[in-house]
Amino acid sequence: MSWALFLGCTVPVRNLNYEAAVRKTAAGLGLELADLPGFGCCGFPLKSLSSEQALVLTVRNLALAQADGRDVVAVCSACAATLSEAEHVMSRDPDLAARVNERLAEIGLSYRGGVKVRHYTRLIHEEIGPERIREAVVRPLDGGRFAPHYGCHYLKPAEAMDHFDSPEDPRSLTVLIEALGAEAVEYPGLKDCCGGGVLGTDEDLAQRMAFGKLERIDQMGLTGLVVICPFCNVMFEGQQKTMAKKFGSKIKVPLFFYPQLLGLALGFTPEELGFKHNRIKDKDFLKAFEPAKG
Amino acid sequence: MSDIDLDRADPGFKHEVARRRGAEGIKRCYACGACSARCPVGELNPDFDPRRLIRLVVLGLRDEVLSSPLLWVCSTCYTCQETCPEGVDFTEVLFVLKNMAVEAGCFPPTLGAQVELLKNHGRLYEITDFENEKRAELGLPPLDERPDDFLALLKDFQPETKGDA
Amino acid sequence: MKSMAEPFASILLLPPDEYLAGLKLDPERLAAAAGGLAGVSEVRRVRAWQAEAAGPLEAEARLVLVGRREPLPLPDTILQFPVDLETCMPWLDGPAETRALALVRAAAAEASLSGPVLSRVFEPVRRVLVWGDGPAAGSMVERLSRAGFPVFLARPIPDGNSSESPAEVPPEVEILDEATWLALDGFAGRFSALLDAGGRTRNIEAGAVVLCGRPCLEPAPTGFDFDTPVTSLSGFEADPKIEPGSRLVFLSGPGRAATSAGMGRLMKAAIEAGNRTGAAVFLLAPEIKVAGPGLERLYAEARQAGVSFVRVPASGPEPERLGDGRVRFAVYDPLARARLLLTPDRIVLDETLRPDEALEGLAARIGLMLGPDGFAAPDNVLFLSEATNRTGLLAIGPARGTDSADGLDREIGAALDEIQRLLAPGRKVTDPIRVDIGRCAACLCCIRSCPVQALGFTHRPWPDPVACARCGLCAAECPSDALQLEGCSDDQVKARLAALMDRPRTGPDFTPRLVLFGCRRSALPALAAAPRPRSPMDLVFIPLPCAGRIEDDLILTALVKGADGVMVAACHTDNCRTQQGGPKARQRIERVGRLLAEAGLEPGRLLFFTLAPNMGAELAGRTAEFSRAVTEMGPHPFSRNREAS
Repeated sequence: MSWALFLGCTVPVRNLNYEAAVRKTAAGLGLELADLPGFGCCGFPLKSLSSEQALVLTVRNLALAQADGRDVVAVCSACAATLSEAEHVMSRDPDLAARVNERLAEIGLSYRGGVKVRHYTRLIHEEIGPERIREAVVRPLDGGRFAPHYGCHYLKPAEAMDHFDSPEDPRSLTVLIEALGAEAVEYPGLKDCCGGGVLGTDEDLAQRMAFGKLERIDQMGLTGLVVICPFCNVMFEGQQKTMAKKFGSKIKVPLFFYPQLLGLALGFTPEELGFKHNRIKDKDFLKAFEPAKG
Repeated sequence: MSDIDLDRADPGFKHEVARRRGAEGIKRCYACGACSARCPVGELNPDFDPRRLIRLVVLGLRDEVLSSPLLWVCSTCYTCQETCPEGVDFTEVLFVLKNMAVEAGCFPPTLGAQVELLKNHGRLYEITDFENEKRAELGLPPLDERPDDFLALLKDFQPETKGDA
Repeated sequence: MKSMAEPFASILLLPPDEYLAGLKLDPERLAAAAGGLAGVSEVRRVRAWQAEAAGPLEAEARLVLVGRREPLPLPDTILQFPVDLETCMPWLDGPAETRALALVRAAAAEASLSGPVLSRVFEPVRRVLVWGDGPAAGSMVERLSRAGFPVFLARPIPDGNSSESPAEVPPEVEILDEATWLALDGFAGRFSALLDAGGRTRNIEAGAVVLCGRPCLEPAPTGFDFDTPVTSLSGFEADPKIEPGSRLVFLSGPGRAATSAGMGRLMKAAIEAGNRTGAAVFLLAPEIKVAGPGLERLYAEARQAGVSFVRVPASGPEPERLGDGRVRFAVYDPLARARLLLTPDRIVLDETLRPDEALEGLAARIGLMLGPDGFAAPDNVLFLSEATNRTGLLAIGPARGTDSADGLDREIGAALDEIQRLLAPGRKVTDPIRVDIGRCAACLCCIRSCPVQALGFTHRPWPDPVACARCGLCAAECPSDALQLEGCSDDQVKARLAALMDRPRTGPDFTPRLVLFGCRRSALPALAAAPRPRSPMDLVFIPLPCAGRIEDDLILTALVKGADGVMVAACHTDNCRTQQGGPKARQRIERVGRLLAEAGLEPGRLLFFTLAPNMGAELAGRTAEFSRAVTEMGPHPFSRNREAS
C-alpha cells in the first residue's frame, strides 16, 4: 500500500530537514510514499477570505489523489486538518459537493469522496504502532527527555479526524517518543497553541503565545522540544532567538521534528536527517549518533 | 466599550450568519463562557473574547463586528470549538465572519497578497532552481510549480479592502 | 386499669454486650444496677433491635430501651422510653457507668410517671370538601373521586378577574355555587363546614378540606408611566400583533422574578414573536429559570428563533423618558461589556399569580394562617406541598401560589396521600393531652395558643387526637398546669432533670453543669452529629417536642437542681412546625432572665438560640463558648450562700 505524500507549501521550501526525515523513516519502516506532481497549496490560507474558494483548492488535491488511486498523508498539520475537513464535508453535504465539483469541472477534475487523509505522525501510529517501532529501534534514545508539542491542527477539529486521538488528553506522539526509548514529559501547557496562526496579523501576540510556552520548557532542562508541524517550528525554532532578545530572557530549547528523532533511533545519521538545517540543536546529543569515523 | 444603541442594530444579522455553512451553531450559544475561559489569545489580549463576539452578533451589531480587527487575531487553535457544550463551533463561525468581512471590504491587506502568490505559483513559496538545488543536496526530488489550475480557479477572486482593517 | 396516681413499672431492655462494651460499660454491672432502680420491674437482654426482641409484652406495657434513639415498631398502646446513650453520654461528666446509669434512671422515672394509655377507634367522615374553581380544582376533584372519596365542590363567587372557565367535574360530585365561607368547626376527620351559597346557609360534614382557589394572574407592577404601549402576557397571547421591524421587549419582573411556569409562558410567547420575520425580540429578566420540564428546550428554541436574552438587575432595567414620552431602557450587559440602550416599540409584561381575593376573608373565618405574601401557606419548609397550619385543611395550586403544571401535580399527589392517611378507616388514636378538670379555670389560653386549632371546648378543653400536633404549647401556656402532654409532662421533665443532675461533681476544677432544653427536631439530631467536646464538659440534654414547650418553671427547676447555666435551643422560625415555638421560648427565657437580674444574679446564665438539624458543629461551638462564659461566672446562682461544690 502506498500513500500520496502531501508536502504543502512550507515544508518543501523551508523545512527540508523535516521532509528528509519523513522520507528516510518511511523507507526505513516500509511505508511507501508517492509524489504527486500536481499537488499544490492545500487552500488553508484562503479560508479566512472565502471558505468556499479555499475548499475548491483543497478538494482539487483530493481529486488528484483519487485519480491516482491513493489515500493521502500530509506532513504539515494545517494541511492535514484542511484536507481532512474537506473530505469530511464533501462526504456529508451533497449540495456543497455538487457546487465544488462544478468548479473543479472547469479544470477537468472531479471528486467523489472517500479519500482518507492522515498526518504522517498519525500514519506511523496507526500503521506501524509503538511496539513495532520499539522492535525496529537500533539506537535507543536512552536518557533523552523530550517535551512533545502536539500543536492544534494535528488533533482538532477532532470530528473531522475520526477522533483518532483526544484533544484533552493526547497520547499518540507521547507513546511514539517513548517507543524510541526516550522519556516524553507531561508538562503544564502541553496542549497550548504555538500562536503560528496569528503570526501574519499580530506578530507580537503570536510571539507572546509561543515564548510563554518555550520559557517553561526551557526551565525544565530537557533534551528538546518535539514538533510535527512547520508552523510550530517557525514559532519555536525560527523565532526563538528573536523572541529571547525581545523578551530579555536567555533560553535554549533544541527543536526536533519527530521523524528526525525516529530516524536517529532507526539508525540514520544526523546528516541524512537534515540536522544541518536545524537552527537550534544540541550538538552533544547528536554526537552519539554520528557515524563512526575511520 | 461605549454604549450600544440597539435601536440601530440589525436583528436579522444573526440569522444571516447562521444561514452560512459552518456558522449554523451560532444561535445555540447560551453564554456559558467556556470558550473565552480557554482561549489562548484571550489570555494575552482580553479584548479578544469569543463569547463577547457571539453576543455582538446576536445583538445585531453588523458593522461593529465585520469591521473589527479582532476577527483576525484568532490563532485557529480550535480549543473553543472543542470545549463548547452546545456545538456553536466558534472557530468556524469566525471563519464565516471573516468571509463576510472580506465581502464587505474589511480585511488585513497581507492576506490579499496571498491570493496573488497562489495565482502566480500555486503555492505560498516560490519554487526556483535555487530551492531545487537545496533539495538536491539532501537527496530530495525536485518540485515544479503548476499555477494554471490556480489561475483558472481564482481568476474571479479578487477581494478588495475598503480601507484598513 | 391502674389509676393515674400510681406510677407504672417498666421493663428494661439492654442492648448486646458488644454495644455496651464499646461505650466502656460493663454489661453485668449495668444490668445489676439498672435492675435495682425504682420503677424497673424486669431487665431483659436483647440480641438485636427488632420488635420481637422485646419478648412477650402486655397490651399496655412500658419499655425503657437502653442504647436506642428511636422507639421500636410496636403498637401505640405500648409506651417506649429510648435512652440515647451514644448521643448524651459524651456530653456528660464523670465515670461512664455513672453517666449511663443516670440516663437510664431518668428514662425509668419518666416511664413510671406516664399516664394510662387511652386509645379508641376513630371513624372519620370520608367526604372531602374542595373549594375553588379552574383546572387545579378540577384535577383535585377528579383524583379524589377516582380514589373513591365522595367529593363536594364549593365554587367561589366569580369575580371576573379569573380567566379560567369552570372546571369539568365528574357527575357524582356535588357542587355548591357562589359559595362563601362562614366557619369551619371541628377537626380533621370530622369537620363541620358552614358555607353561604347564594343567600342560603349550608352545613357540610367533611373529613378534610382542600382549598384550591382560582388562578388570578396579574402583571408585575412597574410603575411605568410612559407612552410606550404595554400589554400583559395574557393580552399578548390572546392577540399577538407584531409590526415587522419593530422592537418587542418581554419584561420579567421588575422586583419579582418569574416562576418557572411563568418563564415558560414568556419564552413561548417570545418564540412565537421571534419566528415572525423582521421583529427584534428581547427578553429581559433578572434570571432565566430552566429548572422545570421542557424549559431547557424552550430556551434553546428561543435562541434559535432569534430572541436576545438580556439580564437585568432585580429592580428592572433603568428606564429613561425620551422627549416623545416613550421609554428607553439602559442595561449594563457583562457579556458585551457595554451598556445596552433599547427603545421598545412595545413591552409585554409577564404575570404571576396573586392571592385569590377571597382568601383574606375566609382565612379569618376558618382559622387559616396566611403566608406573608397572602397565599394560604406560611413560608415554612414543613408546610410545603399541601399543609396549612390546621390539620386536615389543605391548600394547593393557586391558593398556594403554585402556577406550574408539575408543581400542581406534586401538590395534588401530596394532598391525596395526606387525605388517605387522615381518613383511613378504623384508626386507633390515643389521647395526647391529659386534662385535670379540677385545675382548669376555663381561661381558654390553651385554645388560643394552639398552632393547629386542635382544641375544642365544652365545659373543659378537648384536644382532638387526630389534629393535635403534640407540640405541648398548650400545656406550656396553661397558667394552672391543668394540661399535661403525655410523654412530656412537667413531672416527667422534672424527674428527668433530677435523675441527671443527681451525679457527684468531679473535682478539683470547676466544670460548669449546663442544661440544654432542645427541640427534638433540630437540637437532638444536631447533638447527635456534633463533634465531641474537646474540653471538659457537663451538658444535660432535655429533649422537648417543640421549644415552645419550655416554661419558666422548668428553667427555674433546672437552676434550683444545680444547673450553672441553661440553654434553650429551638428550630429556626421558618422551620418550626408550630411557627411559634421559638418566639414563645425566647419570651419565657427572657422573662426568667429578668427575674434573675432582679434577684441580683447573672441573666447571662441563660441562653436562647435557634438552629437547624444539620448544625452540629455550630451547636458544639455555642456550647463550648457558653461553658467558658459560665465558668467565668462561677458555680450556679443558688449556691451563693453555700460552699461551691
